[in-house]
Amino acid sequence: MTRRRLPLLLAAVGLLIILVATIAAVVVRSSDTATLALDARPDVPVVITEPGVLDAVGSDVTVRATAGDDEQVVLAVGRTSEVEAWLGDADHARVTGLTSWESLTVEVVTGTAPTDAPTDAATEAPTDGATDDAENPAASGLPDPAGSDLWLAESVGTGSAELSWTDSPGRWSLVAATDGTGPAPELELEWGRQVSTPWLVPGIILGALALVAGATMLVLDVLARREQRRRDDARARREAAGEDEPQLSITDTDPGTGERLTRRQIREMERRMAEADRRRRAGEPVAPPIPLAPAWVEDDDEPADRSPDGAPPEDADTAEADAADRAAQPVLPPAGDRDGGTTDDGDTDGPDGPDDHSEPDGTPPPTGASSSADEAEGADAADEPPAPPSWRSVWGFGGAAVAGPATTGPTPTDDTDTTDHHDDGEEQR
Amino acid sequence: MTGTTQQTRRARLAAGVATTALLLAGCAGDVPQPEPEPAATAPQPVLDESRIERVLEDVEETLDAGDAALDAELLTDRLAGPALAMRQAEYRLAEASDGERTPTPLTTNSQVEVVAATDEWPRSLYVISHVPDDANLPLLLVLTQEDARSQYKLWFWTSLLPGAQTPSTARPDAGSEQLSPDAEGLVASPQETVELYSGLLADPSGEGADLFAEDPFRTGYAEMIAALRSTVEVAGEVRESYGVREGTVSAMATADGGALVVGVIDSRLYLRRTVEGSTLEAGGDIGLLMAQDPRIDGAAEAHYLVPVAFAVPPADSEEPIAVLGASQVLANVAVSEPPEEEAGDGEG
Repeated sequence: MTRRRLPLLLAAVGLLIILVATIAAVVVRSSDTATLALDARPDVPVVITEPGVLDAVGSDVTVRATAGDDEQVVLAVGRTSEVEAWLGDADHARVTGLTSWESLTVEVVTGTAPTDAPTDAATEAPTDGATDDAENPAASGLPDPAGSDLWLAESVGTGSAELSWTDSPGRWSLVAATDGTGPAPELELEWGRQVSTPWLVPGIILGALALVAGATMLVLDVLARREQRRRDDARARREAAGEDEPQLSITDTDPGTGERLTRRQIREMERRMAEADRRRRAGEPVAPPIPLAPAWVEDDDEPADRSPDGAPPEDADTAEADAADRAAQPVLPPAGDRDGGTTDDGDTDGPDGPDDHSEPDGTPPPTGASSSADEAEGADAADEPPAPPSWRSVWGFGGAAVAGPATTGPTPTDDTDTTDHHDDGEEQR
Repeated sequence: MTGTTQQTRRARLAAGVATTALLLAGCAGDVPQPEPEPAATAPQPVLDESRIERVLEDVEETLDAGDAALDAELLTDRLAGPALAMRQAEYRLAEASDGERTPTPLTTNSQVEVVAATDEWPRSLYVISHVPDDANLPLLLVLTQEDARSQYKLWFWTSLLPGAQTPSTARPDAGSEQLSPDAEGLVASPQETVELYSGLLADPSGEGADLFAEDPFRTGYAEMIAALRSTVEVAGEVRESYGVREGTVSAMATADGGALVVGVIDSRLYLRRTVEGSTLEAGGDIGLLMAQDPRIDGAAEAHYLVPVAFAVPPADSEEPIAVLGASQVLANVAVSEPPEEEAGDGEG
């Protein structure tokens, strides 16, 4: 049960990680601007920012100013020293910093000229500006800031204005005014905060890895289960038929060589086993169980397919001969023959292998053979990680598993255990 | 195996939760406070490239508008000082001549810009222009910003003389030192330079003649005066007077430690009828400005503005002062009797 749950969990966790990373990033990004404003419209004719305010949060700032519908609004950025010189001793408000994430800290500076301007602009109702203006126009005494050569950036509008500024080396100040005599506009600074989402990409990658791993495991597991079920079914059928013949089984690994069989090889073997069973029941001659591995299907082209090299099937007269031949030289073309022979030679346990081997095609002697077939099989196995058990081991080719001419196989229960055991072994490897 | 996976899963979940928490926590950080850069220790260039371009364009547009209407009132936003006076005079002459005389072609299309680096006002920008349309020689323009609330205005111009080599200057993004009229460390201070040269116009071999290299303007001017004298000879006399126009000397340091110096010389020619019964009739531009009656019964004074530009080498240099540019603009003609020195300019 846990084997099935593991991949599901893995996949679910992967999805969860992706989801969390994405949601977190989206949540953060949706709040990636900071907009700070003056608490109220100032009643001095101009608002400036002290150096460093424009890039206090981020290097890119967007400034918005609004005033009465028909008032000129000027936003400009200049060198702080030049802005100060331009101001002279005129009344003005200075933005000195940030009070909170919503409001700017403002300080009102009253010039030397007599003025009744309150010290705190924020407490003064904006409507008072007009009277103030009318009372002491000389106190303000600022020229219209629009179009001054001092400004590096400038935006002039009617009713409102917007200015974008990217910080550069130096000390810069914003100038916000209407026409230099009327009260300054309301002011709002907006920064695109540098929101970092450092976990987004790693989260997605990690999640995707987990998801893929889980999915892969799930698929493999399902496949493995299907194999298992098929085998179980076959066995069940045999058992249901009251079969007391020795049970043939397949393990995926040759205990002698450690080779593994491909699933297809296993399927073929199973088919042949079934065939053999059928024949046995029908009283037909049956090849000895042990070496029958690749040879069972006499009137079947399967062997050709099963060989990595696409070897043509051999014509076999009898099941036994066929089985023997094929066991000895597993359906390989000349090169394949040689390989098969070698393999058999190496394994020596096959009852008939060595003898029959060299017959068919006059292929080079087994001794000259390389182990390429082994390698091919090994390669196949490597390509398909959950490879089924080596037919050699199943069929007793691999050393001590089966002693002597194994006319009787292991008991069914043992077989099953073995198979499972090998499966686990595969996974652990 | 399963146990390991569950641990891993728990660890991953924990990591995910921690991540979310971190990201959310980021939203509620402390409010940042301004961290201004320290104030620059050295004076910075008063204008950057984009502003120079903007100013020059605006000046040229203003000039175009004024030239089209021959209305000096249109120039006051972007012209000041000697430049405005010269343009006013040119417009007057153009009107008096029914368009026969045209104002000096000016352009602000710049080849070289020399930007002052200073924290003070006034501030200057020197520009060597390309050759304007309908002209043969490039111009040296000087723009000044009188104070922080003023605009940069064209304050001075002169035509560069043929073959004039302008000294190399600091790049605009570094800025050049603005020099006062009495700056030291030069062969002659800017004020002295202009004064000496104005003296040389009256007396080509006078004081300081060896300080200056030969220049075509002085030669041409001397010829013009000689011709005038010979013309007037039978009926009267010509007197000259030269002086540096007040407040018109400006200088900017060059790369070699010398200076670019500009200034305006007031040049006055007095024509006086000395021979009874003869007629002295002013011709040329002077006559045009005398309107209906070019006849000079008593005396007439023609007032010229002569904007000059020099390359003054540093004090330890063997080089002479090079005259880079000079022009002559007839500002005014006044008829007076008797012709005394105090005759008003009246160019306003």
